[in-house]
Amino acid sequence: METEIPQDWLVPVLRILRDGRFEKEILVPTRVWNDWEADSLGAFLYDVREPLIAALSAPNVIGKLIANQPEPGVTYAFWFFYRAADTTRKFYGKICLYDNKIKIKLLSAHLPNFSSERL
Amino acid sequence: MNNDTKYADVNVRIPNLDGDAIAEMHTVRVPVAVDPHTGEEILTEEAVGIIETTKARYMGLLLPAEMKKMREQLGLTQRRISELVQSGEKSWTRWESGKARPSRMVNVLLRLMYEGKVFITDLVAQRKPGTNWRNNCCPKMSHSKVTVTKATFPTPSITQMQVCGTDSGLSPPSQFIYSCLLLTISTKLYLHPFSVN
Repeated sequence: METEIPQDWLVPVLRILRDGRFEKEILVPTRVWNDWEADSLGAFLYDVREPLIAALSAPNVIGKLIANQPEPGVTYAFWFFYRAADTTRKFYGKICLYDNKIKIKLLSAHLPNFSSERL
Repeated sequence: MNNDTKYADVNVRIPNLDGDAIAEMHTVRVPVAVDPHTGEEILTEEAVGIIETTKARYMGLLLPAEMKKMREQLGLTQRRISELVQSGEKSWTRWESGKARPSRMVNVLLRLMYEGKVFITDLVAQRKPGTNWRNNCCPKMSHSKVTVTKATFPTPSITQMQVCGTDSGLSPPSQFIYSCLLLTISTKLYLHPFSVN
């Protein structure tokens, strides 16, 4: 069920997305890279930051709390938009904020798969 | 993250010039770490560097390190060079740090600078108020409409570029970049004349 994503999750996630380094503060599994690059039609990895920041910076961001993730943290799924070749596409994003609040893991960044992914 | 680093093959997709399809795909072997919670392969910082560099190379983009090297060799600060290419200092800083990349059109200008085909004096000239780029080019180009048909540019989309003077419909930054490109073309015209309508 969609809920408003709380600020105590959004603030550290946005800080890490803006300033974090890949591997150190931002973990990206290879499967997420493959999905992102294929669905964004060849975008760079750093291109994913801005649309994620834009989506999570909006007022009253809506997302879905994902339970039972193996990572030690709090995970939200949400929609974000990426523009490529004059077309804006809706992407499914999912990020885990680790309990220490200094690290995130990008769990999803791909076009929506409606069979399994709804907010 | 533990220290258990291994290697994995990942795909690097190269977009076409319009950015609406994948033109080619290459596989590179990169170091990955293993997430102790899930066993997933996680891209290391080095892996991200390899992937982004591979992509930039195939796209013909100047690498962040090359931009920094060029700026330092020209003896310019980030602020000064961003003024000259009219990019904004923040943009330049992000390009040099690899957090963003210039558009392919801006990249053409940067490559010309990197290869010593456009000079700082050219860029300074473009900053002067009232600069008319057509007068900066050779006499053949001072027509109201110029069609360049055989220029050898890295991007095919520019090889048949039409520049139509004041009614070109180009934004000022685009006009600036095109003017630098035409400056280079005009030099080539004197050396290797080819048909210009």
